[in-house]
Amino acid sequence: MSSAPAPAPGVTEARPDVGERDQREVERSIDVPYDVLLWNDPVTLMEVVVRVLKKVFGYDSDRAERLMLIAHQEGKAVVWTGERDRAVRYCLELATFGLQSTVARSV
Amino acid sequence: MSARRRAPFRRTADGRIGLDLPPGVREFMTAAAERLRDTGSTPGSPGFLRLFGRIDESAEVDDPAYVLGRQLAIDEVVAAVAASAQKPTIDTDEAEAWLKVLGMTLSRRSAELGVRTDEDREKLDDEDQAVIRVAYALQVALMDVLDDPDG
Repeated sequence: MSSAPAPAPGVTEARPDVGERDQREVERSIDVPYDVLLWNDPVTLMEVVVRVLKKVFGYDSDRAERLMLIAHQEGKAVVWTGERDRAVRYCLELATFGLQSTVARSV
Repeated sequence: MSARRRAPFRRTADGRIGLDLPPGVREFMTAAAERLRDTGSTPGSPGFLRLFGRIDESAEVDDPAYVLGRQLAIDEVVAAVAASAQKPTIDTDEAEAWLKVLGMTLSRRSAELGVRTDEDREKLDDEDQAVIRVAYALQVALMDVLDDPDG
């Protein structure tokens, strides 16, 4: 086994041509947490949001209400953090109740 | 003198949910479900963008996993509402599907009308305001009966 020689100073090493979609797959495979961001919207009733958060995530009333108020007042709220595929499934389920959400890398 | 208005939904003795709805409301539900059918497969439409456009901003809209997930999620609730809208009673799963159709209908319709703020919503014409009021009333009544097993 041998390693490639280091590039000369001032020379940028060419990177393999990785397609955008492949690059996303690599990023997704890295074990980093993802957030489910819930967005405020002007038509969904507050009590509907609270009920959906309780049903989808199993939160109690206090937690669901607190998260709903954060989304309402600040425009968005992190309502769940964890593995990416689960985050996507949660977002799809929120969408079926009419709620807008996004999967984003946790910061 | 006026008769006391009956609740549109009530828990029946066998745990199902009885419907006391005018034909127009049942037609409203059927039509709302049918209108949602293509929402998951029309990227770029206001309804799609409102409901699904932000789920994963780094993903392609034609990613097969997303297309399948969206369509399955919508097909399931559309089928449940279409099959139950004319029944005298529905079960709790069907009632949850009704809630989903109402929620998606509000989001899709408001996106089509360009509603982005509370002020936008308040400026809608009477007909669109009426649709929103009907959907809200059905959502609240359904949640009341679903969350109160004795209700």
